[in-house]
Amino acid sequence: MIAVRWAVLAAAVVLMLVAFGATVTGLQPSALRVAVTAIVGLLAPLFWPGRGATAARTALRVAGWSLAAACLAAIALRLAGAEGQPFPRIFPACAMLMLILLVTHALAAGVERHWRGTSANAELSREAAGRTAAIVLALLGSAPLWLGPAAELIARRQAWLIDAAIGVSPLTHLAVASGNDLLRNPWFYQHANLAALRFSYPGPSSIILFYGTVVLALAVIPLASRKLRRPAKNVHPILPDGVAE
Amino acid sequence: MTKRLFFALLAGLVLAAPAAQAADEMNPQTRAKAQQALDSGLKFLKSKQAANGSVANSVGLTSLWVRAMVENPAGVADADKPAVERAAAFIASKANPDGSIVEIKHDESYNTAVAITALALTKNPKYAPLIASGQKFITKAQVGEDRGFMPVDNWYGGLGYGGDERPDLSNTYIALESLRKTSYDPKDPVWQKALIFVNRMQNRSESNDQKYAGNDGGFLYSPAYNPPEYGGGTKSYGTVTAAGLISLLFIGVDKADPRVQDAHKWLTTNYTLDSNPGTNTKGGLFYFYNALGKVMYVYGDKEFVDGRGQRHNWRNELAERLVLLQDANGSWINKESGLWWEDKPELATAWSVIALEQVLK
Repeated sequence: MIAVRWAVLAAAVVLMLVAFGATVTGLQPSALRVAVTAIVGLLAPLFWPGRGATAARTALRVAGWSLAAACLAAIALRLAGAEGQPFPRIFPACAMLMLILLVTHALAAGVERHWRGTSANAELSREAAGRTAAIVLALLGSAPLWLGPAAELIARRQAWLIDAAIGVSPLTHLAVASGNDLLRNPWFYQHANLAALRFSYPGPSSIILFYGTVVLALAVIPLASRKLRRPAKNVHPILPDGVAE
Repeated sequence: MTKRLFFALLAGLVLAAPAAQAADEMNPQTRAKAQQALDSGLKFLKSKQAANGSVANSVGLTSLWVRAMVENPAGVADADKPAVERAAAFIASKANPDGSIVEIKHDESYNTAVAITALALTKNPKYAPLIASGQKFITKAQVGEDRGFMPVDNWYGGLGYGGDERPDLSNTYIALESLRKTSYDPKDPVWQKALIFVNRMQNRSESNDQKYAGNDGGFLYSPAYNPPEYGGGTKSYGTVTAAGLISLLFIGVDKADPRVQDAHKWLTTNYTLDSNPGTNTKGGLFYFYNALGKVMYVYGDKEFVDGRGQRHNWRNELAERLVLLQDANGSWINKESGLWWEDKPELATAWSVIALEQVLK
């Protein structure tokens, strides 16, 4: 079943790449890496295969589906263009996509769990969770566009807000990993007000640290909360009969 | 004693020669006004230096500031030397392990180019290692085999801002200028690779093998692409034609070469100081004045004839225009377009001062 989902995802990715003109020759290689990873990243949560029967299986699905999507992006990039892209350039972009999807799919799993508690229809909960995660990702990804005007206004006093509006976007993270100057791509240059201002992209190490921390927190928090919810054992030692505590 | 006097006279003549050349070629009143404008422009720039030596904590702006201060034909006043050294120290403090000199995480090539130009102008030998690393960074950023591009690709040999592969003529010119100003090896392949790119930016089908090549001798911004602010397409326009012509000269193409001649012809035929030639917009006007001053100085002609048969003395006219546009506080600003940061007085003033310095050389 998951293999079928992956095949449908692959077909959807190809259609989207063609529709967005990413297969047109002349697109700069780094921009192609951003386009492919962004399209795979947006579509993958929509095909989220759903939670597993146990927490461990859910974690496995989050990791497995993220890896499958990242591999799909790598294959698309290897095949894209006249000669395909070299692996050393593909790897950082797809690794960044993997990190982004780990967090996105963990979010989808969490939302699905919440909605399963309120809805009897498991399939509907799964689909809604996938869509929610994709919408959140799209909103964050486009943050430099819709947060830009507000950031520009406030930035006269707080200059760091411009960097924050750019740095919060997973699309920026994909661009940094792809070696692409995102806001100087012709479309962004025309539509993003921040492109004409003084700004800085986040460094690769700080992005990796951010996602690493979030992934770690997502792994540790459920374990810790389960431990807290578990009935306390041996809090009061069983004392021999007749012995006063 | 006679020998000493002879050498002193000789040294004086050598030092005064460039100024004498400008004096010969300029109206004395215009020259005096230009000198005043230059002095008050420098005064404004000095007022913009922060305690850490920078201008707005920007490597780019600080580097242009240093250049404006140091290229003053009158020389740097003793009182200003510590300020120049503090600015250079700020630039040097932003050097990164990869050789780039920049305080932000983009525009690495552009910032490094203007930074090493400024550091070289200080003539302080302690910056030599940073300049060498910067040169390496810039040559590595050139689009070439290392990045999977071959001479047949139309981006080959160009340089961009540094965030990705996309090259453009403006950044290529700034990079070539920095390599020239820092005495980079003239036999390095970087120059011939750059020539391939520069040729492809000229609307001249005899030397440009691309389909989009026109035939007016002017230049466009990037392969088959002009910025939307200038109407897109592949039409030649002023700022990049000045950049293209000076790039050809920096690369070492002879003044008599037809590519140089055709570019010069486009620039003089379409000459105007009212707008960015060929665009009918004032976007990038101060960049144009700056590039025009540099290219006319390097080209070396006192006068030229425009497309309507009118004779122009570029020194007088550029000086008069800059004097006219200067604000009372000594600054310049593009009041009609904020394109390319020309609404920032620190930038427009540095460019204008450097343009005046070309006029007065």
